[in-house]
Amino acid sequence: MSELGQASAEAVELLLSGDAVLWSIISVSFSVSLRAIAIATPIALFAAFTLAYTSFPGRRMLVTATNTLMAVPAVVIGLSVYLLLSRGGPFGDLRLLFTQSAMIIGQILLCLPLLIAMAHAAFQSGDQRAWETALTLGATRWRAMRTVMYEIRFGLLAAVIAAFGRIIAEVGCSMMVGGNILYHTRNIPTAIALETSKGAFSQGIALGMVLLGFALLLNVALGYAQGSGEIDR
Amino acid sequence: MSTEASTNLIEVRDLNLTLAKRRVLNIESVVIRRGEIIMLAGNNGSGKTTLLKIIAGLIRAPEAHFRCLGSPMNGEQAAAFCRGRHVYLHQTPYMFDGSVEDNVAYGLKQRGRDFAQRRIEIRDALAWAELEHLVHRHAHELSTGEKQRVALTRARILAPSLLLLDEITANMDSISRRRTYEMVADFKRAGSTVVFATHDHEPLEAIADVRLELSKGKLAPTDRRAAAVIPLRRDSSIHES
Repeated sequence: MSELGQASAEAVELLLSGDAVLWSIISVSFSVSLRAIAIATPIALFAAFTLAYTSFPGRRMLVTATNTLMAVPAVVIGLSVYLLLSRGGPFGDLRLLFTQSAMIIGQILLCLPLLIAMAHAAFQSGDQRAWETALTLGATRWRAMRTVMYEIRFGLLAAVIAAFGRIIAEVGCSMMVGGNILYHTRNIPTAIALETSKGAFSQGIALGMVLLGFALLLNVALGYAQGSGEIDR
Repeated sequence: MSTEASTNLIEVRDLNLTLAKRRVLNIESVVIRRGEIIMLAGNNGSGKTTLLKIIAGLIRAPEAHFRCLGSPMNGEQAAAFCRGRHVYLHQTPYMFDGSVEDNVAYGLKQRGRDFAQRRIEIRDALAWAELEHLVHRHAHELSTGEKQRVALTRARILAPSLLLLDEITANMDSISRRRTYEMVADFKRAGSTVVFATHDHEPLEAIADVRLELSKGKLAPTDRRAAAVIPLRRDSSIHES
């Protein structure tokens, strides 16, 4: 217990002292995951909208596939991306393996199914009349889609936050395709795994604190945006 | 027949629609002419909403043949033509998350009106509906009757050629109903055609020019004028594709 207490005290000291290594790890983590979510979100929202508001052969199968892909472990996604980007793989010539770009690709693939499934559920629970009202008042389909998205924005925001939570904390994919290279591809989860394996807990705890603090911040922001959380009467 | 000169807003023929393996509509022919208030009576489940949404362009009827302002069209073309030109109001109106002003402004924004022009038109339209005092109120805080008046204002400001009302007085008290009928009559005076679906016949008959009855997806005239709206002889010039 005293060891944990001492490690925690050291962790706080590391954070407050502006340790260069620690803050580079935090910077890589947020830089990679924010870029991944920024790319994945518009794709996922459009796909979810299409699944919810259009009818085409195979739609039900796509919904089932999306829900199934949510359960794929990060390490399996990492392995797939590794095979695609490694020298012998179809995209080996791009020389992306062990770069932040590879990590971004892996994280996009990791969060897309979750984003699509949660956004699809948000669209389904939304009111069909919003779509019809927008169209009948002269909105184009594109504009009506944006109106519907605005009307269910809190559900969509919750989907984005959940997806971001998944990728910022995943270790398997980042470790495999990033390689855990300090100042380049070492992010919070891979650093925690490495430091823990070395028995150096203080940095791991400090990084864990950052993750926890960020999760708290996101949820407070979401709660504030949603208002009181009561049902609209 | 030229598009502008046509006295018929829309003609539909062979309107057969099946949804979820159930025949919803089976209408041989129907014509909606300019400047009339058409009362569309029918029980719940008779197909009124589906018919109105087809005419509004919100539901496609791929096998039906249309003639919009005199131009023959297939189901796809007709839906694209009608959407945004014909305004449909739900039984319980949907209010966008925003103020009454935001809701009334929505259609004008789609038509590219600038801010100053919008302000003038919104002020006039809210005055028409006696809703000026609610202009900054959040639309979700309104009563059902007030929401319906905002929805009518939102339509009025667009001056639609055809207004499709889907049992909008179903949840209103008698005073609100009377006020709504006056507003509907105003639409006609302003040059709009109105189709008013209802299952409560009495009060509307005073302002309706034509009364149609929809039963189990089939349309039947209930008076001499309505017989002209449901032509028994087919117009062979309507688009066949």
